[in-house]
Amino acid sequence: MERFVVIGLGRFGQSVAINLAKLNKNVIAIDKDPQKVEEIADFVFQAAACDATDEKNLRDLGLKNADVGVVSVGEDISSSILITLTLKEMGVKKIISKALSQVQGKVLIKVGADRVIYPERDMGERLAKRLSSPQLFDLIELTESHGILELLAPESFVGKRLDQLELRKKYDVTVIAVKRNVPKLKDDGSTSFKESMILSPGPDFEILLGDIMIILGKSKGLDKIKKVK
Amino acid sequence: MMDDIKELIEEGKFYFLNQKYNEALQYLNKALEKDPANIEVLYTIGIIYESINNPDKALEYFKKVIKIDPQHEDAIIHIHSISENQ
Repeated sequence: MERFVVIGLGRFGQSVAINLAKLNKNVIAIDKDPQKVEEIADFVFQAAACDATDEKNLRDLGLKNADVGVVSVGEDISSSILITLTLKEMGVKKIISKALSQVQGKVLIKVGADRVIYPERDMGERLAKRLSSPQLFDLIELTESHGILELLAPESFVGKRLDQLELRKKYDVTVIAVKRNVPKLKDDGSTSFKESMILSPGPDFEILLGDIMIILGKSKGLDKIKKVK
Repeated sequence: MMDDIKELIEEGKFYFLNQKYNEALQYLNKALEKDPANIEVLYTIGIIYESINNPDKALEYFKKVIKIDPQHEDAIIHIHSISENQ
């Protein structure tokens, strides 16, 4: 079983540790703040309060054979560098370190990080994309010329069947799935809904208000379809 | 008047359940004209907007609900989940 060690249990580190544990991974979570360790203790395989910049502490925890180390000690870059370096020397197979700037990222790569992540920057990018194009949910580039687009169904599509929309003919794209919230009534009479996914919808499938269309096709076609109102 | 509102809410819910969202909103907005502080109406409109992926409008109505009833747990849950996804 793969062993993960997460050092630094701020919001980011805590979320990584808990989500790995939810995926049934063996996680050791470390922070110097005993309260943070206590908060996470019930979720992970092992939680320890100690100073991770001290190599002895890490060795005592048996981290030598860890497969993946996540270093997320926040704004304290000197600790982050020291811990990354120590994990590397101890032979941790893959080290992922959090950085706040590219300069920090470069230093972390130099001392042994296999991958550097920039949560704040990535979140900022994601938010900017969302704000600039609220209809666009996500775009995955498969190759330089092809991608998958998640798009809130444009108003002009609503109430029409897929064969009427002629998306392949007009844009050279295919709808591979539709995400739809299906309304329901709860036992107490209040309204609610349940997300459902309709895979490879047929030609007679009708698009409803609020449907999220997942569309596969050439980037050119996807760009065009993004602009449809 | 209460009967009127009740009927309008029922109609609104009926259309929502049949995925006729615009019609549902029409009935619920009529109910809201008669009773602007009706929590059930405000909450249902929030749910409709959330289900048709209009999170901004959904938030607007869920916030109106908790302004009237700060303990409305369902509205709080929806505000939280929308904010997390935005």
